[in-house]
Amino acid sequence: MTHDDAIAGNLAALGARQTVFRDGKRVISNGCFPPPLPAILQEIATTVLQRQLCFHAGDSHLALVVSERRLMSLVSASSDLAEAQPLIGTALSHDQPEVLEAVAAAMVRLAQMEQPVLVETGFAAAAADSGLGSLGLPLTMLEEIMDLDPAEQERPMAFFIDASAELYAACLLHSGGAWMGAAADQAVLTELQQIAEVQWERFQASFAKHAGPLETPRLVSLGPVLEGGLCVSVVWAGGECALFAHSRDDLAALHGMWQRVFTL
Amino acid sequence: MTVSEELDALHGQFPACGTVAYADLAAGMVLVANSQSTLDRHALDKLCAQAGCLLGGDGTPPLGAAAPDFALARETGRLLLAFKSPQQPTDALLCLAAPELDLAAFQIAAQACLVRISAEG
Repeated sequence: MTHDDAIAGNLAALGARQTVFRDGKRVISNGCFPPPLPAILQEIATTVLQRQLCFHAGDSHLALVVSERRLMSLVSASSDLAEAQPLIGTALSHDQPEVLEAVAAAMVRLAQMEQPVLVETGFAAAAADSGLGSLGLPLTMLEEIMDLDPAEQERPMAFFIDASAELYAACLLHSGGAWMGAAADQAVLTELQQIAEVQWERFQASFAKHAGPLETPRLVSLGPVLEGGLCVSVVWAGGECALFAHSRDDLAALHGMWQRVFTL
Repeated sequence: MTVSEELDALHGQFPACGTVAYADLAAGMVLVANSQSTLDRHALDKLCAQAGCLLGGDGTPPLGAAAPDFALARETGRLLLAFKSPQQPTDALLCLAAPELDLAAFQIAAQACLVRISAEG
């Protein structure tokens, strides 16, 4: 990634950010979406000036001094992050592979708590304690060791479709100007395709007129409207929309999944 | 119980549902709302128009082969629920709730409430 690409990516991430605070800390992942580990790395990537970032997940925390996409020092870590304990209070440097592995392991463990991830941002302590004299650990090295590509940010719609796979009989996604379907039951998919061809434009225009612009994520469910008593749900997010055919029994679970993916 | 008492009772059972209203979709207006609702007449009319669009107030199915019995519209921080009366398809129960509403339990209670209101009307 070039420097200009990194700046453009960071500006886009800052612009799209929903800001939600809990107990005075900013929520960067609800534990499900955005995926916690990329969310932590994204937070480091968008911290340009030297700052202390403290990441929290449940009762665990990891505090680091960060500057210009580098981890300069590890300030504190909860006792359950055993890998990080020897590094507390030390400056970080990329020329020590075991340090890189330990920091990566602690971050992965924090991200696997299945808890909302929150961040506190503050000014770093005095230069002597903040690793300013060290080379620091570049974020790119952490991304490599974790096998994460920052350019491949998962779209929330794709995540929702995958995460809800057990809850619907057929799905039709409209993305990039085309409809793409997936279904175990072809007949149900055909019904969704007929909706897309015949009723979709009128419905979407009518709903937008009454409910407002569809740029923010939304979910609409109507039931029962298909053969066999199936319901249809519609999701709008990130300039895409998708139709789902599902049973009424799966309605509450589908809404629960939407809540998990689309809200912090 | 009167319609108003039915709506208040449903709100009392599910405090996360701040507004519960009985509406005539054909006329496009809310007839009665629960006494604790903070929505003014204009907001209630907008709610009714949105519900009509989702339930197919003019009898035309919005999506699919059949007009729906119920509709839910969720966005960040807000959930709209609309249930069509089985006895009077132009009458509906409209509800505006916080996202944490127990959806499964509320649907059962709301539809039972609507059946009682329609039966008395």
